[in-house]
Amino acid sequence: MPERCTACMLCMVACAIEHTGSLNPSRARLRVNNMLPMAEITFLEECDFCESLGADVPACVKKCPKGALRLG
Amino acid sequence: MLVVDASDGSHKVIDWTTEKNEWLKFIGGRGFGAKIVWEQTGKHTDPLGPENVLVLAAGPLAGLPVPGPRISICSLSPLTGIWGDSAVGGYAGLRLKQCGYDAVIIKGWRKDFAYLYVSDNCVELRDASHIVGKGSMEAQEELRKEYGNEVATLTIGPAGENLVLFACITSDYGRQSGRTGTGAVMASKGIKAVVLDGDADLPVADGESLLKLIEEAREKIIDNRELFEQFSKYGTMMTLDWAQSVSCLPTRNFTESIFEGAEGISASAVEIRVMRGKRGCFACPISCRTISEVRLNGEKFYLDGPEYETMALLGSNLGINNVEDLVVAHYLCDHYGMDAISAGVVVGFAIECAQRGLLTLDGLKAEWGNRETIFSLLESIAYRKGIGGILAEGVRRAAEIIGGGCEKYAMHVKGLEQSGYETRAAPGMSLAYGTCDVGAHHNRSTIIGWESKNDRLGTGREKVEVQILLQHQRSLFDALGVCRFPWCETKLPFEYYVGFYSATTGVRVDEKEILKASERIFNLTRMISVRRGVSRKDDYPPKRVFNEPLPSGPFKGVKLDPESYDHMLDMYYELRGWSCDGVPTSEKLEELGILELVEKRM
Repeated sequence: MPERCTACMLCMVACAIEHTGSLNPSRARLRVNNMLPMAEITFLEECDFCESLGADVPACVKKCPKGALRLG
Repeated sequence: MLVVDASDGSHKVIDWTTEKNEWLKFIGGRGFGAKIVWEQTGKHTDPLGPENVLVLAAGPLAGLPVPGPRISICSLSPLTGIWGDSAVGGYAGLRLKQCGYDAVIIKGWRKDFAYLYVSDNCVELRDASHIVGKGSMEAQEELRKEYGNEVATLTIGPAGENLVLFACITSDYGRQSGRTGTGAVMASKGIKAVVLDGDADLPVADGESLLKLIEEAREKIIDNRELFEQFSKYGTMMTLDWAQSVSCLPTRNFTESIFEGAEGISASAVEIRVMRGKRGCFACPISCRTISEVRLNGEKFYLDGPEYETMALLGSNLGINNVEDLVVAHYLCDHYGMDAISAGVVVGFAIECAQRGLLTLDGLKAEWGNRETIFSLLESIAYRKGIGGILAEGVRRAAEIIGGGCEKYAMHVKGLEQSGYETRAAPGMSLAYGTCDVGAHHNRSTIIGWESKNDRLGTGREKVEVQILLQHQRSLFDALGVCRFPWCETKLPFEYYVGFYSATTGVRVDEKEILKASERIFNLTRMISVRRGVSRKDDYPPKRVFNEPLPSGPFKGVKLDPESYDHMLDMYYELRGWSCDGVPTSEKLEELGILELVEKRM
């Protein structure tokens, strides 16, 4: 739900940590663009919704403080 | 640290770790800025000349992902002539660090505007002709079209280009390095924008501990449920209701401290009538920024705002009683690229003086809340047209130029226009404005919050002690390179920041040591200003505070007693280890380990 996104990029940080062990948001498999009035969230090709990690909820969805991401 | 010469883009990189101990005692960010400005400028340096430096310093925690990375932009201020700094949030601090730099220092100047492109392997001045003349957000849009959305941009608008002395530097969609005229310094160097195009990993001493601490801190912030949700929803906008309720809301050029139209510019008015979304800085769960819809001349724009300061200085201070006009005024300041606080004070001053017959407004009506007058004045200031050319000099100089006794109505300290608290019935806050190192700004101390709860009208020692602690605690965040709101608004314990610092840098410090570093920085910025001529005479709130009793409200009849203020100031200097003329003593400088540094360049 991009209207809830506040462009904090904590999803990108979570992704980077999960998949690369780094705190660097530039290594994330999703991108948040802080456009106005609504932020834009795009997923890169490499994203597999954390399936390869065996997670039931992707890291980004879990860590979003605003509930802006939803699986499905 | 990247050093760039604006005249030709020649640059070099300084590895400050070769003199690690000399730099670490200043932590980073604003602390690095203070050391650089102290060492590289002097008593006679022209703030708009080639010898001034513009330091963009990020701080060790910026980008890490501790909530809210910030860059402190430091220089000699063209508005005040003394030390000036103003921090900016968003994502710029992250990207600056990802280019591989803790700071960028811009020296020299050029006649034609260029923009500075910085990445982790390129530093270049590029042709800015397609963005010169554009508003600060427009310029950003152009740059993003070229470089994509992962860059951070720092831009100036027409106010900067026209050397309005309180011009600001804009980051992202409207975050501002607002105060002290950092935008004018950038313009004087011929730099229209800085593009920060970095994506590198940031070095961390103990990544595991840092991450654990960050996650714990984030949970603590969110678990403080009520405060977290309220601050996420309204940010500092709630302060307007509070200021009205405790009678310190600047109204009509600080003539009064309560505003009958406050309801129309309140947080709930914003929420109901103009709010379209929320935003937060990088890595921060608190979305304290509001996105508002602005309607101007039949067009629709989006504003990152309002927030308390603009609601006060462009709202109640100008007699604007409706959010629709408020957001236009705020938007104009962002678009032109000028400090909304200074602009609000200067326009308020102009309207009051015009009403008193001391100046004319080029045919505009001298009426509070008159949108045509206010919007036109903002434009005239940005383009230095007519009366705007005088107002663009800042309220202190404008009052000197206009004469006729109007300096009585010029609300500033040391030449910096006063921010959003009316202080005739708040002696501690008067002292805060009198002793803030950049001038009348509340970033170093908002003691009025403590004052309202503990001892509103008192002038005793405890208040002064609290003041000094706040000045060290609050300004520490500018050295660390992160936002203080998680701590001061959502009550994240201070220890977390000490922990973040140790885990990030590997330097073990305790709270006492880190606050000592903050005291060190505060004393150095004071010395920069002392070298430029500042002393006790400059540490007083505006005359109105002493001379005019409040005309209304619960503190009607109250004004600040000059003797009591002098007594507080004496205690302040004594507690700080400064002379009774407000100059740090050799003993104090020795205690802080900067005596040699100061004596070398005094």
